[in-house]
Amino acid sequence: MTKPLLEVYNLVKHFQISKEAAVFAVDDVSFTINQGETLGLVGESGCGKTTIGRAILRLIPPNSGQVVLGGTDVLALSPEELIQMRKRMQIIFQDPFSSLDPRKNIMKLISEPMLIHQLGGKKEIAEKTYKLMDLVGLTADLSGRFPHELDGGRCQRIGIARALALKPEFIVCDEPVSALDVSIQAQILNLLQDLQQEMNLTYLFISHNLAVVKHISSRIIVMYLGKIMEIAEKDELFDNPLHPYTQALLSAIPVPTLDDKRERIFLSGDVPTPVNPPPGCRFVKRCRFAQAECFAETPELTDRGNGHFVACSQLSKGFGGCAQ
Amino acid sequence: MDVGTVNQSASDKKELLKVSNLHVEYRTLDGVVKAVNGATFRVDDGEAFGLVGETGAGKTTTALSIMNLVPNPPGVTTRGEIIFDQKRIFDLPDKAMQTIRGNRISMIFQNPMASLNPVYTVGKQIMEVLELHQNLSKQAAREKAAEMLRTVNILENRMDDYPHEFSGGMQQRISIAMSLACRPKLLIADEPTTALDVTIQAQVLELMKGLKKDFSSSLILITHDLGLVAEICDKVAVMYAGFIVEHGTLRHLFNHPLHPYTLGLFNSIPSLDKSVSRLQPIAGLSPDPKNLPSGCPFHPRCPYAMDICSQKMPEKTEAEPGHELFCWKHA
Amino acid sequence: MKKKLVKTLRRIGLRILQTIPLLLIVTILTFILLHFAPGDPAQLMLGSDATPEKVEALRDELGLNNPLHIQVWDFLKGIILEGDFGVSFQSRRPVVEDIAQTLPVTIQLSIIGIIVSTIVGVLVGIISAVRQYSFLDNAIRVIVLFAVSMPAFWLGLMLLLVFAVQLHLLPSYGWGTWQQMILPGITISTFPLAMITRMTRSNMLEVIRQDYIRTARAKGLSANKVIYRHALRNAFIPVVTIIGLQLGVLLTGAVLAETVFALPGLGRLVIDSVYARDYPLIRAAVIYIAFIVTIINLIVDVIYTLLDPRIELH
Repeated sequence: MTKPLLEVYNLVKHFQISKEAAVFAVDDVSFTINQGETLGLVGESGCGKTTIGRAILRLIPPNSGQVVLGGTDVLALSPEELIQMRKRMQIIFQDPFSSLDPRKNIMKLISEPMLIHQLGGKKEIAEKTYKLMDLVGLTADLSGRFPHELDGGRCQRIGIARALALKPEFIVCDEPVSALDVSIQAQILNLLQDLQQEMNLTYLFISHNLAVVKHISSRIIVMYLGKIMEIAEKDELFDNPLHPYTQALLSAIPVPTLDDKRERIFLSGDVPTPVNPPPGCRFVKRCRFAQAECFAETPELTDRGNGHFVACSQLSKGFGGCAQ
Repeated sequence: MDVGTVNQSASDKKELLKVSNLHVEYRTLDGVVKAVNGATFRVDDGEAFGLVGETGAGKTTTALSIMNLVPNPPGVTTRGEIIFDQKRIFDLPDKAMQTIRGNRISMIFQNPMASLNPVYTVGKQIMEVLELHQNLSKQAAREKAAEMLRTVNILENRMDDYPHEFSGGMQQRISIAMSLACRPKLLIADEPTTALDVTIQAQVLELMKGLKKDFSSSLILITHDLGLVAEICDKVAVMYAGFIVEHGTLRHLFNHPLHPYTLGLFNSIPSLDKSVSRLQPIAGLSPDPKNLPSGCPFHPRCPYAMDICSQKMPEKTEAEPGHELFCWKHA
Repeated sequence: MKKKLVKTLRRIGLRILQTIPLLLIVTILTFILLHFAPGDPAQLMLGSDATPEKVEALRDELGLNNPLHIQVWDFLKGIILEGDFGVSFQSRRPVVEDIAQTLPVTIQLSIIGIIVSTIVGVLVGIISAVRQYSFLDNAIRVIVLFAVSMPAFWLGLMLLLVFAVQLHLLPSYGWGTWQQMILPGITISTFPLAMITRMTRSNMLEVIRQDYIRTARAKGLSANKVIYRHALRNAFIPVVTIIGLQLGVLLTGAVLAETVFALPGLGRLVIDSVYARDYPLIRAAVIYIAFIVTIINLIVDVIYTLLDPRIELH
């Protein structure tokens, strides 16, 4: 019986850009992640996926909502308690180069979290660092090198080692392989999977690359303009996408096979930014099934069975115009 | 390292571009970077040619060489020849080259925001290429520019807006409009959709397919994404460390890829249809172009490497008509 | 397009209005600082052997014994109601006249300085950037290093020595003929020229590496067109700030050059007034300086928005 490690309830984060305009990056999002699970979070730019990752860890202060990690509400902690909490939750960033301090060598970069939390004397920490380097596939002789001397793949391994240094339970992986070459991507994905097994980690895997997300996640959330459009187990999502946006997204991915027989759905217009969103479904302007009520009410996530949730008023009405 | 010509049965298509044995290096203070090491391929009229490889494979340098735009210093073409429309590119003086660029051969780049000059309006930038090559009056150029914007689904009333006022997808469409304005015979697209969202990528790709047909241009698509190649290309070449390791038609490369690197690429990509528990990445790292391995550049990472692989560069093997590769395993 | 123009004009108006409180604060601060600064103008004017009674009498006459806030109030009243900025302690003439007398020299010198340094600086900067690492580029960089390090008075004196004294080619002092403008012109242009060259060079180097320059080349534009139409337009934008800054410095008096070449400019006037504790003159000069700097900043900001469409005026 798996129990949830992370529970997010009604998370809201908006950025005020002027007196009248606010960007609703994350607009009332709720989900849970079970222990040892990888939850994939997909969406295009402006959907809020990066903001969610940072809001959960309180790297950006959310406006409202609850984030409960192992029973403790992260958002309600005092600053001192939060520092302690950080040992349990970590993040791996997208750009391996800009997320590492260029003036610190590998040894310093990986050992820094342990030094901050005083997890032992200098010698002990150095030993732990070497162990971590070995764990992520970095040879010990690299410990004196600097990020700019290494390639993207190795730098990302440093980022992973650093995230593991405090032995966290939960890691937010924010587009960890998007900036890497294809062959290195595969190496890092395998590494993340192995580490998850060995250290019983729970991941929130954020990416815009559906194929990667499908490979590594067990469940997937599809987001658009700050709201969740669909949640499902990965096979269920890909075999049976219900939300019009998910369908369009899946049909848009170029696949490396010939004789691709998918129906291509082309969305008109551009991906908008969630500034002062009008009432109604966020996807309404680009949806090919939009009806009058889609402009008026924001659809709730409804359970379609098997853990498959969709936020679409046409669907809830009994398959209105949505093709199956 | 001469690949030679592709099979003759396809020669009812007229040859538009022929790159032969191209060697380009960058002479930097840190050492000599061997970017392209003997690339040979041809592109016919109306054909879409995919150049696939990862970072550092030499694809962009090859593309820039076709337009003779490799920055010099530090780039130097040490060997090889490029023939476009029966003209030898490297023999042409710069003035002659200027009449070809943007006119007979156009190029679009990866980062759409950075590729447009931020201080000039979009209309002005398109008009510039029309005024330059087609000697049009300002009024005529303006009309033509508006027409080009319409073909890429951008409203005419946005002609006087600046690049930063558009989204990434629109900026890339503007770049496409600009590059096709003079109806070039060859369009080179260097990772045109990498910086774009998936749904926008699909839009832009669809647009490019349509325009390629309407404007009868050939296309060289440079990308690391095999999915894109499958969407739009007729022929494909795979580059590694400045070498073309395998090339052939789309069917050849996708139905029976042979070179260990090509196979490695396919195995590294998570598939939407099949599920695997673990991916099979290519071991190791890309080689340092200042210090390439001896013999076959892929041998340190190749699961099938034999002794000869580290000693001698593989010779050309024809696996089937039109499908060639360089690998001792298949020699 | 029109909307943006209206918005910009409104903001310019606002900025101009904002200068008034600024000048007010500057004036009051100046008053306070002068009040507490050591030195007594009356004493200086009468000499060290004057009797204390005479000094006090003069102080009363000049209004120096009034409480500070009365002095400030009187001063401001004079400005607002009569446009009277006071009378110089030294010359006994309205300070406005004293300053106005020096302005022609200062303004002419500033114009020469800024034009020469901008035109030459930008050209040399471009050449240096386009031919990076070449002998020419390295030579330019060494010369610029010298130019930036040379104290203006040393340069002025050297020029004087060589061209006026030794070679008798050019006059050594005074202002009026074009020959008299050459040596001072060179002296005050040197530092701004070096700054502008450096800035242009480094900006051009950065801009040339941008993708849109590659696009311009790919469109078939000649190297010259690419440099002057595409690269310079972008690289020049930050240089405008430097030009504005240097112009501000020049317009508020190039003290060292004026001293070396004995030019009757604003710089010398201000320095002399400080030595003499000529409070009215000092105050007026400070207000003038603050005003010039503010206006130049505003002009630079406006030019910025004209050059770079991504930027809006505050």
